Amino acid sequence: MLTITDLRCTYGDKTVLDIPQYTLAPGVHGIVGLNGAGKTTLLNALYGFGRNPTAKVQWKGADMFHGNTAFQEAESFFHPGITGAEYLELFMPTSGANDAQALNALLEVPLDTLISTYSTGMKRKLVLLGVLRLDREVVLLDEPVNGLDLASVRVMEAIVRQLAEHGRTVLITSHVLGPLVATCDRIHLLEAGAFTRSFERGHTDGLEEALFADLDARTQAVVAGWANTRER
Amino acid sequence: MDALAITCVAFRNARCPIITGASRAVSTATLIRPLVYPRGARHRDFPNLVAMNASASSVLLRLRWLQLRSAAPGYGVPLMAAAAVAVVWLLSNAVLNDASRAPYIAGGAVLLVSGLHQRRADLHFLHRHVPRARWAMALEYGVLVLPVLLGLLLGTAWAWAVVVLLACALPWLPVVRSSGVRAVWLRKWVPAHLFEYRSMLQSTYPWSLLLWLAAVAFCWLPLLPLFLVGIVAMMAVGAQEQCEPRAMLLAAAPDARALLRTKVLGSARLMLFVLLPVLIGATIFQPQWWWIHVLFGMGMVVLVAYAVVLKYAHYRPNERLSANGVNMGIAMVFSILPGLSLVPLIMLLSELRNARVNLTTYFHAHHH
Repeated sequence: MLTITDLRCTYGDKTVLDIPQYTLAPGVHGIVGLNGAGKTTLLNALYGFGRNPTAKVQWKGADMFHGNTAFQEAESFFHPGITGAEYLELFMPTSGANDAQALNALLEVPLDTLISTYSTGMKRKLVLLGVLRLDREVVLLDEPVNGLDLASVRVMEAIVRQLAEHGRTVLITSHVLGPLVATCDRIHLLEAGAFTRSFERGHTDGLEEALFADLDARTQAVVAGWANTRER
Repeated sequence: MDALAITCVAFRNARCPIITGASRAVSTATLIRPLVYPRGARHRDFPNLVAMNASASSVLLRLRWLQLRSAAPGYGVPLMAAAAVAVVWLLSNAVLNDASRAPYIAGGAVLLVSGLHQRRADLHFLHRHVPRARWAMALEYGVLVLPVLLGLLLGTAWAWAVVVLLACALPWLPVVRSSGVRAVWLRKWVPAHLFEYRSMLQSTYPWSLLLWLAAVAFCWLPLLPLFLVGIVAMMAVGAQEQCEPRAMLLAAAPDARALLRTKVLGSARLMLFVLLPVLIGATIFQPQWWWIHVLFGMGMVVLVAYAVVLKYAHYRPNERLSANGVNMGIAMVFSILPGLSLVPLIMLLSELRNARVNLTTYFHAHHH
């Protein structure tokens, strides 16, 4: 069980995240929200960055820390001049059982070449391999499908489901609803830095409506106004 | 849209390596902004900028000029002009005093430009986006070797001055571009957590190895081996300029203290591995200078350790810490002055706490 208590993040005077109390059961959780809703800030804060000192983030009753959490960040940066294999060497598996590099047979990252020659998708997959290699109990994936081709998205979905079956808790943020609906046990709607609703697996019908209701109304009004201006 | 604006947009969209690679201290945005909207420019100034023709061969020179104006402070340009005049004066005097120096100067200049050309990161971009790219590069190289050319002409070394002009023909020669991994056999000796040195090998191999081999081969000569191995140490120092991403930092060690320990001791061990063969050889041939060799060796190890500590004292994920160069320069000067090599050690110890504090903010989740 992942418990969040009194979690707040501010940029200057602006509060971008405010979660007084929230609990996530083991499994796969999707976090959705429009730009600026606080998705990346939430994952950063769960990993220990930028949160208020009084915040409590606990996993199975104990404080969550880097030792039991792995984090795939939204931006993929690498030290220049190293190969994919050299990057993965840094991520020492806690047990010999989880050899994430074996998954590369499916992901097809050219590990023996320089990372600087990789495409965006390859870089994302390499970061994912590093995260999996750490074999942590909580896995935070920020926009993991960005830049991935359709085949890799399917592989990633299978990997995430496998992690959940092995008792890991996975939190995924995404702008693309398809992979979230396919993999998540529960999808949480984040609006203006607070969780407003959540949808269970198989009951996500109202998700798009909840996410886009306000936007759709505004879009209709603006587009209609724009069309009228053109006609005139 | 006019030709220059098109070029500017293309440069910006392609994250042009001519800008990102050549002047890493200044962000692409800072460099490009003056091209499209020069700082302080009024609306009516803009046509003057538009009048610059991007298809002309001088486009690279004009871009360099704008880069220089953007990156250097107000007195930077006169200082560079003064430095160029000094180079001309020094070289002409060197050739007038001893004519046998001319081939070395000419050959060195052509080799230098050739190395720059073979490694220039924007070559593909230029061929794709800049009309008459070869002429633009030729003009750029011509300006680069101009002080050497003038120096040789003033030193009446006419034939060697013509050789220097060969630098302008380099853009027409094929570029042997290796996109592969360099020094595969050598980087296996470098531990995974010291990835900075693998990166260094990627950018400096085979020159770094040749320098080291030359230092070993010439260890019977006074000073030269120290100079050569000192350059290799400087390469190791330079490898500490680039900060790794947060994920790599956290994967390398469980906490700030452990990270600093493994990085500093690992770097010191690598440096000793590089230095010892040269210093032992030099001491065998020059036993009376054993103490200089010991002090030099210690100075270089401390210098590299200081570079590591300074990097982590100012660490910010993914950033290039070019500003650390000033401190490193000071430490470098002191490390080669006999008797003053304690200064870099004091600098190292004083930065150690800063490094620990700075790193703890990234590792702090461990301390809950």
